Amino acid sequence: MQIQHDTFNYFLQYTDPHTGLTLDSSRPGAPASIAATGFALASFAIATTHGWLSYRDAYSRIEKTLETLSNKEAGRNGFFYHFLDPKTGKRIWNSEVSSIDTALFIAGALVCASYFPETKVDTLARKLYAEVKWSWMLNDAHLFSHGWKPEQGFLPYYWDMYSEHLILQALALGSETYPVPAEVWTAWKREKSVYQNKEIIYAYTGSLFTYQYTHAFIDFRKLSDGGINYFENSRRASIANREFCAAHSNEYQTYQNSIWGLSASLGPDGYRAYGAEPGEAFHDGTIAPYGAIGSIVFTPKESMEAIRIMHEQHQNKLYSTYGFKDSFNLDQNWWASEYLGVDQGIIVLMLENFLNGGVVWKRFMKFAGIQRWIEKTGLQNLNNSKTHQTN
Amino acid sequence: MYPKQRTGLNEIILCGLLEYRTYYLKPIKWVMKNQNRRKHFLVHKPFQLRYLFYAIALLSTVIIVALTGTHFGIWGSVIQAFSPASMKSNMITAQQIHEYEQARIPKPFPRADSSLRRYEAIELLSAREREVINEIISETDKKNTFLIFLLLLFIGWGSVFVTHKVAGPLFKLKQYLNHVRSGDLTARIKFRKFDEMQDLAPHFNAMTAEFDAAIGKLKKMARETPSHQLSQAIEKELSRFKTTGDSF
Repeated sequence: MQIQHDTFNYFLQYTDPHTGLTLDSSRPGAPASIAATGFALASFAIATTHGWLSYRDAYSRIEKTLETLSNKEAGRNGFFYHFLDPKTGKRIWNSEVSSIDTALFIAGALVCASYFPETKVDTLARKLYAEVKWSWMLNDAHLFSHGWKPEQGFLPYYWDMYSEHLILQALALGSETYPVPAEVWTAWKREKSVYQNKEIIYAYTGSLFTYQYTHAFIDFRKLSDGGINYFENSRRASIANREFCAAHSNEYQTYQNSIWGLSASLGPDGYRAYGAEPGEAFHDGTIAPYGAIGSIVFTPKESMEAIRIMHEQHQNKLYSTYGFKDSFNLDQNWWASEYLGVDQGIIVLMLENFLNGGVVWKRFMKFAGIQRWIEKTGLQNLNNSKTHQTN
Repeated sequence: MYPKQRTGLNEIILCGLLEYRTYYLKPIKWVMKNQNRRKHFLVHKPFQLRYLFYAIALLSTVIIVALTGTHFGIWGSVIQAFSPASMKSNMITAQQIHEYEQARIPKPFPRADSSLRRYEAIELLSAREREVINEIISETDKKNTFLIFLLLLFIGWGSVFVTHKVAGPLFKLKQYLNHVRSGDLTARIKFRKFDEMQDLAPHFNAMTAEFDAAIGKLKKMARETPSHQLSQAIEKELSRFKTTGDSF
């Protein structure tokens, strides 16, 4: 709980009081990130139930953010630019209109709508969701593009295999105003691989966050996608990540003592998509604490153990005002000095689900859009049918 | 120059008129022009110098505000935006954003090698610099628009204040003359402390006082002088006034 509270304080500190946009990182000069802003919105709403923020304060902050993003300069066709100027809410750093970051923002806004029903916040959040022209991002295909830039058009990269884009899929398929066809759900590849005798639908980087982001909002525990249970898949991927670290603990000192959590983070050579097998599995001994914490709903015992050890052994260098810093690498004696907004966000939301009976899931799953997505894609409720996923 | 081949009455009249203009009207115009030419520019030195000062003060204020606004708006922001600390921070951000992009590129697409990455990060930084300059110009334009609005208000207020020093006395003078014309010789003119044309008031008041006394005297004569002496007394009193009808 203390970790969640400390981590939440990042959003209080690094959200612009006038525009309500949250900085991408704690580094001076960092731009605002639309995904971090989405996580901040959900965190503000959560904070009201813990007494970390008054109802009125949280409401006014969230309202400010939603009003800023109602400004047409913040995006195109309802999608938002990945990075915005925290002071003006305008596009910055030549960034792209981002499909996944917009989805994460909308998810955060919809969580707020559930905490402030029948208020202006509720109306604005639903309006922003309704305005997203999801089908535009398909670029006349059945796969979502990563984004679009005014200077070059659609980016040549598509969400074509399992990753964090499931939240994008769910929101787009469930949209009442601009839904995408049901074929979009089946168009992306569910590539499988076996690691330590466990079959996993894997993301190409093997980064833990790809198995976590969507799961912060959507409760996949009882949903089956033609025999695939994505909650179970994330649990296996988290276990695989832990085992991968253990398997390489002779090479890297950081991985010793049951410390794990290979996920995209800052590292000695900059930001890298660290990950484990199955997948590309790029790693250099850098561990992101949010990796293990973000998997706490899948692997409570293993995550708690990693949190406890990281806190006990490296508290002085790794833990500060806003909780665990982004990452560390014992082998290179490198310690991140920054916090990243999205990494803070996944900690707050996953701990909320873990500590409070999946409260974010419960609220999010009630949305008509989510129900429409389930219905449209034929996802089955595991209470009524058995999962076919095998070990 | 006249056309060489001209025939008929019209041509003769035209040539005559041109000659008349050339030889008679031109010298007259020249004389009149010279008569209206200003020989002394400072006919009322204190008054004219005071207004010269007002004009210079107003223009100086506008120029100072405009220059200060431009300096702090554009150059101040440029200096701040391109300070070593800011440049360092931007370079790190450019690098980091480029790394975010690289981290998202799917497997089949080869990721850039380190030299290309550096180039792409520099490209990003350059784009950011253009954004910064555009932001500065846009912000300065906004600030300047506000400043211009304030300046217009100030100039408007200043103009009303300054012109009131002349327009006020003129208005009073007009009212005063109307009173006199309607026969009220008790009317006197009094300007405000800082009004222009202060020195005219005593002259006007002395003139009115003179008429007031003369007419008063005539009225008294009409009341008190026996009728057979009245005409002679009035004539004597009026003889000191020179009028345009004196010749009739």
